[in-house]
Amino acid sequence: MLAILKREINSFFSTSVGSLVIALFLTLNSLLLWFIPGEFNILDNGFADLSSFFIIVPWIFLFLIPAVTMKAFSEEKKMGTYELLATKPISLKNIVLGKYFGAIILIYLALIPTMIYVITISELTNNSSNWDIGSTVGAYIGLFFLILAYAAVGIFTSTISKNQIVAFISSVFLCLFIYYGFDIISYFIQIPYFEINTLGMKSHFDNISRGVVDTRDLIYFISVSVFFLILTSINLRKD
Amino acid sequence: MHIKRQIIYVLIIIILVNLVGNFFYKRFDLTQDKRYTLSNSAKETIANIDTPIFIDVFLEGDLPPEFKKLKVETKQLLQEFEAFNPNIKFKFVDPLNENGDIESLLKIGAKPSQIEVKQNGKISIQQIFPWAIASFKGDYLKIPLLKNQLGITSEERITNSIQNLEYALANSFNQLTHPKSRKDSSVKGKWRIR
Repeated sequence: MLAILKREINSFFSTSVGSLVIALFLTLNSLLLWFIPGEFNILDNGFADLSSFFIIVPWIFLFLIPAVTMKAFSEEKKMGTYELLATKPISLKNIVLGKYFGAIILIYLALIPTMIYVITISELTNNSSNWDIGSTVGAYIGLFFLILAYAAVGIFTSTISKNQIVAFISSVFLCLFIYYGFDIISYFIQIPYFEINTLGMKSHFDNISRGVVDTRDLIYFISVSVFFLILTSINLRKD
Repeated sequence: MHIKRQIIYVLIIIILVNLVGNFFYKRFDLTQDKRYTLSNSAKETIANIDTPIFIDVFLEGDLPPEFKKLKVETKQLLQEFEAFNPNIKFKFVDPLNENGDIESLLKIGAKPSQIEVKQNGKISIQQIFPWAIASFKGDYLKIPLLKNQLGITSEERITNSIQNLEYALANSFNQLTHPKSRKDSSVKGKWRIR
């Protein structure tokens, strides 16, 4: 698994994918949070609060994570290297996990520079009692788990087609549906004693991102990831 | 066929794990002031409510950023109440749209706040109703969401109001469900003013 993981990370940084993803992620965030006036602008809001970052970040990841994961298996299949990989003495589980954690490490690396936002806000705030660091830590924990789920969906969709674009678009759509789709459905359909929007990632992520870490939400994100990783290996074994 | 069965097994296991997780869970409120954890006294107040309480919150529509924050926090706290006792139902109403009823709000003494909004060098004044109205068995009570204090900035005022929200809401539920104690408190209030 480690060999695959290393190879994945090397391939991210030997091509422009890795640096492009990190640069794009930081540019978009910084522009929206600090420069473009609007409801996400932290300076305009006037509160020592990173909550607008955690509102926009799931939407940016909706496009970035599929872009990172789309090539995981579809490229291997197209180049014909997947057969080679499958004949190596590595179990299928380890191949999938290696690719999965490779993508996750890249996204986590992109998150590290956002610490600058945290430091900037703590330096700028004139009344430190207003700056709720605990809530921010909770939100970062939520973000780590959201990435796990997004990446699992992305890895799964990269197995369904040889074409990377098909993998990308279906992954964006699937992530969007799981993140926000159930919220929309719950506007139209109501089932007694059951809230449909709790099936979606948004309600769970909103819950954690205000600073309340609940094991139920964490179990939800882990189950979504495990489910899609198992689907990935089932799909690969089928071929 | 074989694959389908596999997927169904996986789904069943995952749903079971989630259901079990729903019964055995732990919750860590990492916020500094524990503002998303209801205090025991607030829980006691709402635990015995068996008739629905309806709460209309008038923070909706085009709000300046600090009031948006107040709105989000109010919503999250009310969701917390609702999760504890489903008889607490709330909705957010925009008093300034065509269906809004400012007249009746003013009649019961819910006065609007005039807020100066600075944007791109322009200053405009906006009318905001930082009030909620709770109704219970034909009785109603207005709840001030904004805690006014002299000599503090508008950001501090919002922060203080947010910290006061749980008390303001729980207190009004208490007054509604125990009409007697409501009388007492109003007498006390008058006494203090004198």
